[in-house]
Amino acid sequence: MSRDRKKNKSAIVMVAIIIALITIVGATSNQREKLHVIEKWVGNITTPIQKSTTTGVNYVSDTINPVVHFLRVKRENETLKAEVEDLRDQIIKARLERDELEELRSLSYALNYVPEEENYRHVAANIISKNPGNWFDTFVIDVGEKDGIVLDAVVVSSNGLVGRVFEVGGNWCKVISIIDKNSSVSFQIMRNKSYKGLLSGSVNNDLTGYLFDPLAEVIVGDKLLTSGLGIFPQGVLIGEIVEVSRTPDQLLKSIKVEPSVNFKRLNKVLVYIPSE
Amino acid sequence: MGTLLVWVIILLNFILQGTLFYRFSIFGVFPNTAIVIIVCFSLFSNKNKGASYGFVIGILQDILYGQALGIYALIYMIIGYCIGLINRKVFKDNLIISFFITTVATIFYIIMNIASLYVLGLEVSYSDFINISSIIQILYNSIISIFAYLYVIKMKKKGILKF
Repeated sequence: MSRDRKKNKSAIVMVAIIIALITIVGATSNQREKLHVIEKWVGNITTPIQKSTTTGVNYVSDTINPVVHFLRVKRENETLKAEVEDLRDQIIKARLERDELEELRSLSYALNYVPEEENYRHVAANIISKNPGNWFDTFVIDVGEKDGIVLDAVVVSSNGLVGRVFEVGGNWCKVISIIDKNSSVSFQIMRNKSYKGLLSGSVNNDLTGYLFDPLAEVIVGDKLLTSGLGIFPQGVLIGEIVEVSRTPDQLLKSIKVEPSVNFKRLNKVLVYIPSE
Repeated sequence: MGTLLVWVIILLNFILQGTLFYRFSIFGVFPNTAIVIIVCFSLFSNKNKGASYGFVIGILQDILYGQALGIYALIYMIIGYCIGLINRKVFKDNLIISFFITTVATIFYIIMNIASLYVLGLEVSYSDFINISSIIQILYNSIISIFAYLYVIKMKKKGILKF
């Protein structure tokens, strides 16, 4: 009899905990403004440990990788050399254009027209750990409140757009990457900035989306930039189109995009914080 | 010492899972060692302890990586509880048992993940969960669980681990 009572008691406790958890899930499934203090502190304690582990792992793999992938490293070297040449030419061109821009800008101030310029502060960060579940693509970086990170700060890497910050702790914060199913980016085609559309991630970690204009002419190989509608600032490189097709209802043109950032080998990122 | 070591292993797994284990990905699938640990540990303890292992692992994952707090805590706690329930009814020296249970646990995990995507308001289709990635996840977790199970049995016999 008492054993039955004990069994029932633990079943009741389980059900109560399950109901409590479901309530918490429901309450937090929309994006929250601030993390609870307890959560922040769990992160404050565990993230430094993870950071040292990641640093160690990165060091070992950086040492081992070139030895194992010798031929691939050699090929990458050749491609990089060619790219450097190309970039050097581009810098020279950009310098000339910048001088012209400076002149025009001082002219506009003189004419009393002040354009809307969003000033961003940027902070460099390392990726400490990555979501180990296979269904969401979020990761933790080693800057947080004390470095001035705020909600919706934009995260980029040297190759392009990475994601945005969706929760902030003391010395850490969580970033959701653009290839996560939950995230969406509005884009414009680099070749013709009037062609805009919407991209979102998927469970298979590729980017799919559609264009607003069904008559837009886009081809495989077109590069995509952020369009400035929404959270992300304008002009950040997202990736390249690899496939163009029509949505199942034949109304819109749908595209599949390969992101310009290699998410599997991402270590360092830059966070852009709007300073207002 | 025995019970403390259990919690140390759980913490260590949590730290390593996010930093080291994701580098061992096969076809883009990471091993979910959290499920493996919950299965192996809960098979030897009762349902309450199994539930508590699951809850702690899940809540840590939620705080650090999740979007809606409590999803992983829920999933892992239910897995731990159910496995602890069948603790007495299972012949424990058989390795196939751990393979089979991890398979079932991973399938449950996948289904609950799809359900949580649905709750977050996203559209899901059948191809999201019946695809190569799910099958690889199940196999990867189950194969790892065989080795982990062997190890846990050895440690338990020597008395190093107590549940």
